[in-house]
Amino acid sequence: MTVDEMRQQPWVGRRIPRQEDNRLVTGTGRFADDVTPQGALHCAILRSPHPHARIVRVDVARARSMPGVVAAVSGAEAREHWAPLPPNFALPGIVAPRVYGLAVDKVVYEGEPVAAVAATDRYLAEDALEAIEVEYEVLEPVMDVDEGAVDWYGDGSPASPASPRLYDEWDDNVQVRYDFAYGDVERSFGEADAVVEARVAVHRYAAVPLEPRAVVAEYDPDGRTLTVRVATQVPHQMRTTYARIFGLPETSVRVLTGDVGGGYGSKGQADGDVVPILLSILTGRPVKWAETREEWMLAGPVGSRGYVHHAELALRSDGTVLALRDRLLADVGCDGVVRAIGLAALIVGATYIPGPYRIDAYDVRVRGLVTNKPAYGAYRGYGKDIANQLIERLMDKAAAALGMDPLELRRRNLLTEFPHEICTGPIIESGSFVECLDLVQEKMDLPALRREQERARANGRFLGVGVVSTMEPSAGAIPMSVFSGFESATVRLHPDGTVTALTGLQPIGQGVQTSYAQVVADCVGVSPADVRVRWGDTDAVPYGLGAYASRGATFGVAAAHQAATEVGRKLLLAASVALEVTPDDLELGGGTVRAKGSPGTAMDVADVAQRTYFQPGPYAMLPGEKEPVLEASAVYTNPEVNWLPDEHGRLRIYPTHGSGAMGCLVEVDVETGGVDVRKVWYVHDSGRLINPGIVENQLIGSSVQAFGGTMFEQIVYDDAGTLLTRTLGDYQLPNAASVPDIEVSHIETPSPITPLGTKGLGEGGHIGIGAVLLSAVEDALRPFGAEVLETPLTPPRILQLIDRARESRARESRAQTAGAVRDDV
Amino acid sequence: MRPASFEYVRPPSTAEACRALADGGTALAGGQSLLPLLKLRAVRPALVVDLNRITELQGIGNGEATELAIGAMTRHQHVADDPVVASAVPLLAEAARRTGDMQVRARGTIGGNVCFADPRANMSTALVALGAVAVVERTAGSRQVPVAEMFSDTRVSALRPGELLTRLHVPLGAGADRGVYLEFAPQPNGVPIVNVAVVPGDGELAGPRIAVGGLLRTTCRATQVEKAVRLEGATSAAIRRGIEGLLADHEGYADPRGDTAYRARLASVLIGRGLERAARGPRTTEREV
Repeated sequence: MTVDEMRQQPWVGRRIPRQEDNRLVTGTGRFADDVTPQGALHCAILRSPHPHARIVRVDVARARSMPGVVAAVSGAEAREHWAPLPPNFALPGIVAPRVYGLAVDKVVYEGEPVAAVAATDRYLAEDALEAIEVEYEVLEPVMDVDEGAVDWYGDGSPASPASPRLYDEWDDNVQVRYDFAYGDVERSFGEADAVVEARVAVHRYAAVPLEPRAVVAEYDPDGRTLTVRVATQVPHQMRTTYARIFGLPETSVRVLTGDVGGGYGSKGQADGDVVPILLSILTGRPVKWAETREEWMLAGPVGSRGYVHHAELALRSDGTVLALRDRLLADVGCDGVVRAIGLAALIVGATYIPGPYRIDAYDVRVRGLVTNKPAYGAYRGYGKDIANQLIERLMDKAAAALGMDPLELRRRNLLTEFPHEICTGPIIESGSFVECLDLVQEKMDLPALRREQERARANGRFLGVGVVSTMEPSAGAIPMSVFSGFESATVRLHPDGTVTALTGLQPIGQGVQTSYAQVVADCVGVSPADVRVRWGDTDAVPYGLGAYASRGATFGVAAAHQAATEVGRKLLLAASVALEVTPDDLELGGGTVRAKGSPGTAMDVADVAQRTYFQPGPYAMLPGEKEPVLEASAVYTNPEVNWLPDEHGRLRIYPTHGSGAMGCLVEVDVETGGVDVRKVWYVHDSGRLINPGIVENQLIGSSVQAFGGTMFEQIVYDDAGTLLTRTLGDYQLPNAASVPDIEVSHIETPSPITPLGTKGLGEGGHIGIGAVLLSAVEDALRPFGAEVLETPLTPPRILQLIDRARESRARESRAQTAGAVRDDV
Repeated sequence: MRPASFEYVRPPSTAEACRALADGGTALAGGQSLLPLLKLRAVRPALVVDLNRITELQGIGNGEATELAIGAMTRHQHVADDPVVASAVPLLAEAARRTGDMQVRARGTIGGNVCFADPRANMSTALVALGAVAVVERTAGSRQVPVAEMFSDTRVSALRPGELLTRLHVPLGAGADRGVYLEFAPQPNGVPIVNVAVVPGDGELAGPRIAVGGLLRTTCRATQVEKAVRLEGATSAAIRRGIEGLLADHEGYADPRGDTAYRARLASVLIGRGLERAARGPRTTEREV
């Protein structure tokens, strides 16, 4: 291919380097904490040392008189100046507590903000915190949910009557109740040849972005305007939220983001970040707050996972799944709706537990109970992991019970025809689940791994292999919430031929700048290097919804594509006037507009643009065109989203669904309990790929996070409710030396419901890794007969599993011997 | 995450550092333990005495053929890379290499590692098995303390007010060049759950010297295990009995990564592997446990 031909190739689908990387890896990105306005004050927040207590008295007088302190405020004083934090969604069955940015009369987790200080530097601000006097009446903390005490069938009776209540105005500690049933579950269980049951549990771990929360608030008392630079995934919703909390018109509030150092779902709400804003309003000066890692671990949205399934799967002897029943119980910390947004993940989980399998009878009940821990945050996976963890473990269990090959059992039940409406309502628009499973099996060379496993066992080494299917719903659009279902874009081709693309989506590391430039470049015939993508300034970009639920390649890209396509249409129209060729006979690419089949008749895009704007200008170049400049705005909604409940009460909130399969090889040291994850194979299909390099790294990144969470990350409290994992020394994130080799392969089955055939992605690794690790470790421990149904897979737990399996075998063999003796008699 | 205010001095000599410490100062070596605690306001010294300008505390000397003298301010990476350490006491190089990551090893010091008295500290475990002795100075003189006696409790050293650890003397011979350091950590470069160091005995008379970290509230010499192994041989039952003996006499360590029972089991496994390696080869620097 010649260089010129290369230039004509579409940019979508090419593995080009990310435009953002040079800036980010050389330390020249612009994060909120990189900005300190002239005369800025520094905020420090006093946090409750108790997980559960009434606030009797807060006295900030002494702090207020300390050197350098400009403002000090208690929760009770602050209440006069702001409204409560608004709930981020209001779905049936969910209750929201009424809480403020600083606690007023009660604290419900260790680390809850109770007072705050603004001082001329951060040292003095922290010194002043020590001068604030707080009197607490300590209450008994609720640190666990009692699985045995949950009332699954009652309506409104206390789920756990023995526990003290967290919120005086609530009847009990249940924050979410969600029940769904479809098909004749009782009958299917009655007709089943086999029923397998499992208790599958995942511990609490969390999103730990490199950049914790950071805010620079600048209130101008003269103009009554507020500018907030903040690390958020959803800048426009933050503007709406801040305006509401502080009683300002939205026109007076501007939110800026710049670069955001990771989100993963954790930066989708207003919580502690409203405190520096209040201090700026009270002092009329800029106020900065860049939280510390300890603050993040104590009081960030660090509740996530912390759930247990009790489930049963009914099958016919040929492996056909007949029905599924699940009771899903979660410890949602103090709140998953207002201070953080994790709660709906449980409903998403319940919706997708049937996963990529044909299951036509399903009964699920979900309860999320509050405890005296930090808020239940969203974290990559958002319930799809909760679903996968259960269904894949049940599949392995069912295969063992039926004596079937676990992959064969999956193939027998996987969806193969699309579109397919699953029993909970979503339509799986396209997919390649069986193909992914076949390909992962081939990549792994499963027979060779089994031979290696056998040889190793003969030498006293324990290798294990696991394989799972994955489904990756993307682009969630939640009704009655700030996580709605549209996205916006404006594309502007300038007179010099360069392009500005404004998007409402928010980059948080997922490569928006590069991949959107690729999409826009193709539509207007230029190179991605000529496209500047802008975001995260609510005064500059149209109202958009930002980054959540892997919605970029479904919503954000489609909006940019829609706007750029319109600009491309007008560009061709103008070129047709200049070249005297009909638009249908023109093509775009490599920075030029050409007549098809006659390369001599061509013009630079920049030349067409210059003529369109000025020489001679729009009346000559785009006569009769309603908007005769090379600019267009678009709002994209997806036709498959449905918010009107059908006769079963079902909605469709995720329009696109990726397919996948994951394999894993582990070695377990049965003396130390150590697990060495030697290799992960991941076959993934999220439709057409815009930039395969970006996609691969999203899959690897999400896999690494779930690997850390499944193997060793854990948030631990002592019995009194005190956090033990306060630093990254105690809370271990995976490091470069421990991350396994992850081999990614792609299948591309275009989505029929997005303009480019793309599907949102980025959470896939986090959906499948948990189940595949459990499966592989269980396989390694098969000689002991240990079942692996609970995380984290820490070395002590591995030894405990082996011990229990040995004990239970010993009991069985004793019982058999005793039985044999009795038979003799 | 900002320290409370403190006075700061950076003396050029041991003598001046000792005077500042006598005035109630807290020593700052590589800062890998003190700085995080300062920032959390978990410690609030009135005076911080920065030792980083005292050149006489840095470096590794081999003046005496019978021992190696290591300055307290010698960085972990220096110990890991030193050719004399590598040939005379390879287990110490291995312990240094497995401490933290590159940044930590470039700043952290062997003396700081000992004085912080964390029961899982790599260098402490290696030094205890080697029978190393700490030289401790104060304005009015000095004393020598076996490293095994440098720890009063978890993160509490046996240093008295005004004292400064200046050197570590590591005796050579007696199998020191055949010693083995092993650790088990959730992931490489992380703090180990348990670490052990084994130095084989020299000849028929002396059995192996064994140290273990992360089992008890302090790093310790596992004398009960040594005795059991001497009497019964290096069987897992003997090792296990020795560990039980240690736990009968001392309080066990526990944290969210493992309770004492798990640590006891892990220590037994690692000691068994360490004895086997020490017996097997003249030099072991294998990465895996």
